[in-house]
Order: sequence, then structure tokens, then C-alpha cells
Amino acid sequence: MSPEPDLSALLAATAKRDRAAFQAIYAAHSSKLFAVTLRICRDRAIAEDALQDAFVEIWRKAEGFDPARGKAGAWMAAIARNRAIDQIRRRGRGPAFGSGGDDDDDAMAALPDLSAPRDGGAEMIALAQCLDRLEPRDKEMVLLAYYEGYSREDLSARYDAPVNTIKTWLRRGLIALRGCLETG
Amino acid sequence: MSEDRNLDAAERALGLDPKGFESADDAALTAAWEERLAPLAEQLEPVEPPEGLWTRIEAAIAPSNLSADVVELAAYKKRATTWRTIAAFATAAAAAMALFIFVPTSTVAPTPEAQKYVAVVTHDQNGQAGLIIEIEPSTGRATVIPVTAPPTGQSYEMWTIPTGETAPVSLGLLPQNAVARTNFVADVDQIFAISLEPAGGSPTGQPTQPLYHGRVVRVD
Repeated sequence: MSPEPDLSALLAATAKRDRAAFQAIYAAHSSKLFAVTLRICRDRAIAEDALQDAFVEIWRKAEGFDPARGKAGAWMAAIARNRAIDQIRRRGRGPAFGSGGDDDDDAMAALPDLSAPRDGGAEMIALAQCLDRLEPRDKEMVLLAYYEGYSREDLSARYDAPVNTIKTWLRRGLIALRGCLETG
Repeated sequence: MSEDRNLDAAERALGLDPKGFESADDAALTAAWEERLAPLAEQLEPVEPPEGLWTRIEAAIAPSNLSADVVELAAYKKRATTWRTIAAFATAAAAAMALFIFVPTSTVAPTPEAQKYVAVVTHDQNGQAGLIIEIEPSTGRATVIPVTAPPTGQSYEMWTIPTGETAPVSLGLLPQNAVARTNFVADVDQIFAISLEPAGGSPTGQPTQPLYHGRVVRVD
């Protein structure tokens, strides 16, 4: 296995308009970000557009990345998620999303198994443990929003509850999650 | 209160609310949540994007996209020879478009002693003015004068491409009335543009549909 490239250093070079560094980021990281946009968009063409938007934004905003504030991978994952969510809010999702209860069950079943994380180290273990301490439904909502790009309206339809109730549940889950992560 | 702001940030980090116009503090809260949640993204099995995607991205950030604009815009330089003709041009364009325009006379009146620069941002097809930016390099003050209004339900967004850069930078939505800006930096030949966007501005941070372009020229 080749060693992980230093994404922070590559982003710093990209901020100085170094196209080779930018291409190295693409080579190293595009498959991870494509997994993110594909999961949210549920359609290859839309997910490809979202990934393109994400990389154009990474190129444009590289200067704004501050390694003191967080990891390069987290910064790029957030951009990819946001661009994917933009795409589905504007264009709708691929047919694999929301066509019925069975599909939704599949979607949930297909979420990554967080009890056996494939990557992310100690932070992932802590996050998985804290998510497990949430009410099961609250945990599920956070994961559906994160992985599948569910909006409050999508969650409202899925759980057959008013949007305001969804908002209350989500906030309760997020308060508990932060509390757990901070106390360790 | 701060708990509420933190939860708002968490919801933005999840993508439940648009991130558009965050304060620096709120952006930091959102970034902290993005960092907390990011290990989740690592759990997805990577998927190779298709072969051609890198080429599309390269094309989207290529400086050659802009050189076409530069050539087109050379024509406008000739037109903008005097402040007076620019003002007349703008007024005529506004009249032709039957739009309400608020241009404070004090900003349009010529002040011959001061060296001034101006960008007249005109429609790519019909040449009508959409925006005039008057710049005083000595003070860093600029007056942004909109001459057009977007269709209902959409927004116009102002952009510039700083000298030596290749990517457009948003200057925010086109204001409804003339506004003064301070600490305004613009070089001769710097490109300004207006794009048509969904209400509220570009969802991608890049111009959706660029319609108007113009460059900074010196006005004697």
C-alpha cells in the first residue's frame, strides 16, 4: 500500500495555484468523495456533477482551509456533502431513493457497519460509541441526514411525524452526541 | 442562546439548512461539527469516479475559459473613453430597459481633477449596461451602481476575477441601489461580471449563468 499523501500540504500548494498538487488530491481522494456524493445523490450522473462542483470549490477555496481548525479530509468531505445536497435539492434524487418502505429499509441496512469501522481510528470509535448511546431513532436520523442527505421533510415522511417534531428529536440527539464526545 | 447557535451549526453541518451567510463565529461552529461527523464519511467504501471527470474539472478551472472573455471585452475598452459617455450610456441603457434606476448625481457628476477608473459591465449579447463600478484608487473607495434588475424569483450576483487569478470571486448579490464600498482593490483590465442565479445567489460558489462582463479602464 502506498502511504497516504499529506492532504494538508497538497491543499496549501493548491492554494498557490499548483495544478499538480490539485491533481494529486484528486488522485488520492476522489474515490472517497465520490462514495459520499453517490450515496447522497443515488444517481451516477448527478453524483458526478456534485463531485465536479466539489473539486472546483476545493480548487477555489483551498486558501481558506486552515489545518489548525480541522483535518483536510473532513474539510473536503463537508464540501462534497454540501455540493451533493445542493444537487439533489435542485434536481431531485435518483430513482433508488424513497420509492417505498422496502427501499428505505434497504437504505438503512446498507449504511456502513459502525461497530466495525473500516477507517477513522480512535475518533471513529468514540463517535460510534456515542452514537450508540443515543435513542435508536435519533441515531438513525443523524445517520440518514449525514449519509443519505435526508432533509427534515424527508425525515418527517419517513417517521410520519411533523417537521417540528423531527427538529426537536434531531436537536436532542445532537445535544447528547456532543455531550458524549466532549466527556469522552 | 449559544447552545442554540451551536445546534444551528450542527444542522448546517448535516446539510439541513443552507450555509449561505454565516458569521465567522458561526462558520467555526459549523466546521467543528463537520470535523466531529467526518469519520462517518471514512466508513464508505471508495468508488472510483469515471475516467473523464478529471478532464471536466480541469476544464472548469482552466484559465483558457477566461481568455475568450478577455478578447470579447477588448471592444468595450474603446467605448468607455470618457466618464461622460459612460454616464450617458448607462442612462440610455436604463431608459431602454424601462427600469427604475437610482444613481445619486453626486457620484455620476464628473470630477475632472481626480484620476478615476471605471468598470462598465455590459450584457454579452445586447451590450446593455448592467453595472457600473466607479473606483478611486487613491482612496480605495468604489461606488457600485446597478443598472439592471433580475427577473422575478432570481438574483443577480456580482463577480470579479482578480488580476493573476483564474477563478471568479463573488462580490455578493447585485445591490438594488447604488452603494459605496471601501477598501476596494481593482487593477486596470480586471474583469467584473454579473451572473443570473437562483434567488439568494449561486448555490455552488461559481457563476451559474454569466451574462454581463466588463473590465476596469482608466477615465481621463
